[in-house]
Amino acid sequence: MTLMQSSVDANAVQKTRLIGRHNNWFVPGLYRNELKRTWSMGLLYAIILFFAVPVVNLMTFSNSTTYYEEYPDRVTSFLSEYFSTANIFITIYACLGGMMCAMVVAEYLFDRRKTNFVCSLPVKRQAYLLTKCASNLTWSVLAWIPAGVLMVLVAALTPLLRPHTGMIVGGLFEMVGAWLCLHLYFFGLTLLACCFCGTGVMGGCMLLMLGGYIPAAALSLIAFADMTFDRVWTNHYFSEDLFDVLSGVFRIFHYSMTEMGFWYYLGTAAIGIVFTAGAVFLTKIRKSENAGVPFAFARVRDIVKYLIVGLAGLLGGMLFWVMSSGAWSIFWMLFGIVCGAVLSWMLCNTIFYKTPKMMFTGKRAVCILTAAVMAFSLVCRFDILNLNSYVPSNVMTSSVEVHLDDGGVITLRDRALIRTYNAMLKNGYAMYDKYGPAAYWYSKDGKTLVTEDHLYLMSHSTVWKTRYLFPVAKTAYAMSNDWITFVQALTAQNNFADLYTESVFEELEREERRVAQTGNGDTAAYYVRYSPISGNNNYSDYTLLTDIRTILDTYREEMRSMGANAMQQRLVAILYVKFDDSYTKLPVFEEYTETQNVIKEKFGKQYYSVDESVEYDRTFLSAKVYRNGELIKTLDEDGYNALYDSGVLTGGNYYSSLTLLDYEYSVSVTYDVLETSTYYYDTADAETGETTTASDVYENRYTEENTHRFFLGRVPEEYR
Amino acid sequence: MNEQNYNAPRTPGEIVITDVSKTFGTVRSLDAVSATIRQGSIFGLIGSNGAGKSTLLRVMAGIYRPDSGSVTYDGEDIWENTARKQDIVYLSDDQFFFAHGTIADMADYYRTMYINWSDDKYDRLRAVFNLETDRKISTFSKGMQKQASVLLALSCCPKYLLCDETFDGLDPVMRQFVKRLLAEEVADGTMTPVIASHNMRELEDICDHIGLLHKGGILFDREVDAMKTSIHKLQLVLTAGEPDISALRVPGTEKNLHVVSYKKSGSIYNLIVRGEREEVEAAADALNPVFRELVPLTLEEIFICEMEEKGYDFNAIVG
Repeated sequence: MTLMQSSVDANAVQKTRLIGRHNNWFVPGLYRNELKRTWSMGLLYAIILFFAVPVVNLMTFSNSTTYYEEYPDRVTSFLSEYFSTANIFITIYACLGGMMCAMVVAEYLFDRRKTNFVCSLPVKRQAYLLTKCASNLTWSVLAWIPAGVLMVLVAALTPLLRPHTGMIVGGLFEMVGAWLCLHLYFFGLTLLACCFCGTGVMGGCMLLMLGGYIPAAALSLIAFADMTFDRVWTNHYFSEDLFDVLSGVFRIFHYSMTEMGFWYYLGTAAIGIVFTAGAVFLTKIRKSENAGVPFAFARVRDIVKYLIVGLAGLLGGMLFWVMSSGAWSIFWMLFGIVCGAVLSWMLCNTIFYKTPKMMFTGKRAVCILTAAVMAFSLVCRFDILNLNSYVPSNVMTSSVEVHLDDGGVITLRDRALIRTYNAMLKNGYAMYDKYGPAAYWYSKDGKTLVTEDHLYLMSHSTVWKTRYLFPVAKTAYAMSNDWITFVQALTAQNNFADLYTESVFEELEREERRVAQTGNGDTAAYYVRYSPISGNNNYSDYTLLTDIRTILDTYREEMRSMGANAMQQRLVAILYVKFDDSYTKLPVFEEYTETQNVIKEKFGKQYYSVDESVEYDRTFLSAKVYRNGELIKTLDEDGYNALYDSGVLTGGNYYSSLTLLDYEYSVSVTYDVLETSTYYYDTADAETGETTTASDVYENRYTEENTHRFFLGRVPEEYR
Repeated sequence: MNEQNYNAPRTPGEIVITDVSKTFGTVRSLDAVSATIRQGSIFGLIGSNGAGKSTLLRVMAGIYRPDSGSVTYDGEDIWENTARKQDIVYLSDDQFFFAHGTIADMADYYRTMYINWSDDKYDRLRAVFNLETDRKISTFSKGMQKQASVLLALSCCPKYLLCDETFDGLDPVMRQFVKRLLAEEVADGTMTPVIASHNMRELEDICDHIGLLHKGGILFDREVDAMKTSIHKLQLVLTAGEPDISALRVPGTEKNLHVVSYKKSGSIYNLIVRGEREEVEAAADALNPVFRELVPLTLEEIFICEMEEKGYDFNAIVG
């Protein structure tokens, strides 16, 4: 009897203990079960990541390894950063992975049957959610690890990939931890959206809104229309910047590449954890799960609705503004606002109330909101709030630095260079390689008048900001200030769609001619005029508007009409060369020979350059190889390609960045790519390089005709 | 409306529903519902579509939190009470199974969640139901899925099994078999099924306590036996005169039996009378009938009478 009694007691204790465990925030048995049930999804995720992240990068490396492998760590660390931390695709993988994982965790909220099933189980809802989060994140971590470990192992074995910050911080953290931090951020954001709604469809809608994916999707459609109808209604930056503003995705990405990247990643992860905690809290306080009802919290329904309506109105106005021009653009902007607001309002009502009969609920509120959005847009458009006052006046400014967008990616090393340049070139213009344009104005008393963020707000890239909210470009013209025009023109090369309308283009042309005549700014502004046409081919396909293409074609046709049937394109670099720890500003353009001499003197080595000639359609004509400025060989296309394939020709990011490499010296050249073209009457002229009278017409435009690429290092025997 | 005293002392293990209301949007699914479900019985919830049966079951299962009122089990709120919910298993009319799950997978999951899970019972029932436990449940027919859900639910050894239209989709043989299973569990004293259905005949032969839901409220709940023994259908053939049968007097007492309804066709009287069988027989005999017969009422007939007494049109309620 005693034995039986003690057995019963033991069972009771065991039962109580088990029940107690179910009361916790975490249910071990459920965790194990979830792991067991979802292993195949985890494996799939791991396989995708394995092939998506490291293998792709390694394939990229494989082409350059033969050339770079023996070079100093500084170079390899640069490449390591470029291909690991700074790889935008990793952000995208992390984003998609985080979103998908969160949706898997919250999937029970999307199915009424499963919601009922889960809620009837003897486990608290928040414990269920948290346990599922834990199992899901376990798979995420396990999925990321092979990809990360492979990267780290390869980095350990290959000097090329060795992170300059060390294997632990640079390798494990930057290559694996950073991805996981981003993954966690997107996981939390998505989970919060799903749990905020508490159920089904609206979880997805909230996710789209919170993540800024609705505008992104709209922009994708426009981009598709661009391609389909051979028109350009948007540009590369338009979508990116909206991402940045609305979701913070790219903002995180940009900041994570600075020297503060470590903390930004950690901060990102912390935000993700806060989001996740918020999702769990919402689950706890929610009355009950009721899949199929749009909102678990009825009170927020209107708030969310009008938030969506307002944003949709703004987006509608933006889109119509982008697609229109001239005096009617204001009208189309207002029309777009009305369309966006009203359509989203009707859609929201239909979804929220689950019947089209309620489509027109809240007429007065939506009218007021639409009017407010219209007023806001007009205020921004006409700069009633004087936002352009950020542009400092001429008398206040003593110098300016300009950062040019060359399509490259800024790295920690770039940041260090920028700081050095800032220090050294404070009294004049400074231009260097940077991802995203920026400019600094310095006042005479040494204070910074305009910071990068100011300029970011004012002018960074988007049509939305430049044309719609912050029409700073036109303000700059109105000021008729040489250097501001210069700055704006430089900044505009990738950004200001406004500048590329024909009328403004002509205005710019006049300005630059004046600048060129005064000789201000090393006449660089003169060449800026042609930069958009150019050679910054990473972005030209995106950024050139139809107008620009038309202008370019017009010029070419003009040349054709004059008898030219070939042209030679070239890149011009404004160079700042770092020799070890000292910096020398190299002359540009006309004094290019001097540049070469400086390099020769410093290096004590031969230098090589190659000219290439192409037809209008970029069909290859010929390439000439020079040694120390002397022609040593003329190559046909195969020979030219072979030269490139051999790794002799370097060029970093081809047109956009250039790294000079040497066994003894490490030289970094940062420069802006500008383009000029020389037109010839016939192919023979192109072969000989002799210009004709036709080029005289444009002599002020096309003063240089050679494309120079530096190559040092393992020059094939035949060229030595 | 409710005839029970919900402030009466509680017996252990009973589920007490007190003034529970639940609204979805503009629809009031439950309106101040009160009921008590005691262990050891089979409680039937009857009502038309949309009467609130499923909602009430979900509130009892802890899926929904009531807007007002309370649902307690053993004196504790069921909502988010994992200890109490260990004893309650909810069988939905459209039970959820994992997308590609088998009965074995689901059993594994239930085993994780319910500490009373019995592998012995699972093995025994698995053999009885003769279902392939390694086959995907999604490939089962509707009836087989119902069987699977019953198998899994019973294996959890709950004290309360909340069944929402569980017999729908089962063939007659399997229906009787499942009823027998439930009855055996009740007979063992281990489980109390609460069965919601819109089919009264379905519940008649198994439930011993029935509640009628209408428009979110329980019109009444009663013991089936008590209902059956307290109301009778009486057929009389009277030859002498036209006696007053609106109130039958029990001989030797001052007690009048309540005649719920009567119909007269010639000398044949059909009455429905409330009262104990012996009393009704005695009262009828006092009228010196040529012929007298007490006919048992079906549950449906009893409900019709009850409802009509309360002024409801039963046919409109149950449809």
